[in-house]
Amino acid sequence: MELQSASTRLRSLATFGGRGNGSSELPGRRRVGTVDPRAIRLVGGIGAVFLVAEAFTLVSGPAVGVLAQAVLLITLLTLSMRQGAGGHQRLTLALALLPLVQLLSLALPAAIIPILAWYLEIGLGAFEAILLVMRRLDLTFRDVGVRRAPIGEVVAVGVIGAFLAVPAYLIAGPVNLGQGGGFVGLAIASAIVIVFIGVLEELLFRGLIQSAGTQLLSRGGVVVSVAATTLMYSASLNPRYIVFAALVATFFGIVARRSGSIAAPVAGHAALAWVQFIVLPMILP
Amino acid sequence: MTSTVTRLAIDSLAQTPGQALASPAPALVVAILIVVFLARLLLEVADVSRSRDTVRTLDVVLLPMLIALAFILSTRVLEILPLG
Repeated sequence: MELQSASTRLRSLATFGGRGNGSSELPGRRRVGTVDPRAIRLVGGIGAVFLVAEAFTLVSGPAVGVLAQAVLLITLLTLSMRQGAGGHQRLTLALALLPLVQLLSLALPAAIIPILAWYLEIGLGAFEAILLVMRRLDLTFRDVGVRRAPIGEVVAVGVIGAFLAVPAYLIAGPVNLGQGGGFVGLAIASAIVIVFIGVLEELLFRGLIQSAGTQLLSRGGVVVSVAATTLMYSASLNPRYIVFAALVATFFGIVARRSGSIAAPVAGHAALAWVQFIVLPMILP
Repeated sequence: MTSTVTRLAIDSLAQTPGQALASPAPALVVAILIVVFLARLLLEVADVSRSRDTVRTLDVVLLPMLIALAFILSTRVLEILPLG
């Protein structure tokens, strides 16, 4: 029993690349620190295709965008099915979530419902997709970085995230989420923003994608997660905000890699989103 | 703006119920859902190796899109009801 839990712990550390990992002790497993050249070609190819699909989406609008993202999604799913079980399949399937989230974010928004409900609708689908990918790949929550982290680190990154909300708000401007008034409306809006922005995006980008990238590319996993975040934020249509998102993603990616947990990035991202979308619109005009 | 709610989506929103009903993006999602659903059904009855893995891979797309379908239908009802 003890042996089994130690083996599980080593496996999860190897895939996420946390501090003090012992992956090199595992026989027959890729040492953290080595880079698989085939993985570089795989990531480069997927990145190029995703870039084209995103360009179609931005230039031609949602209808063409949905088609382009659907083609990319089907391509990635087919590719993942052709690959045997292992790091390449894990990375391909993790990256397939990006066009899926894009599809949902292009098709679900409607003027008749408040923006806050959009987060709920898209987020529920995205959370379900993440859980299904984990089921398909037999991943545990520990494998995607859901584990304890030093409380000091979590608090520190949370505070930094709250401060980062100020430039984010100034760059992106106010967004009316359409939440109800009063304490209940504020509480519901806060919960949705924290769960469907902070937790969801970190679980997707740092938890699933970065851990898959780290398994094949070592430190390149951070680059993969930053590139994925930047591409997804490109639909904000604001170059300054895209650069800001890339820098914040780099910070969160490095924190996640150092600690081997997504707890601190979740705290930082949740604080950033909560202050940007809920607190600052009430304080600043 | 975030990775899920984007300026692109806000800028291209349908402004009237008629435009919303005619907007192609949700219709395309429903079409993709139907294709994936049919493929899953065929794979379930097909006697091929690795079909279980393939079905579980298709579930990654199918189940979130079923949620999307529920939201799309409920939104359309919300848009149509005031017209009646």
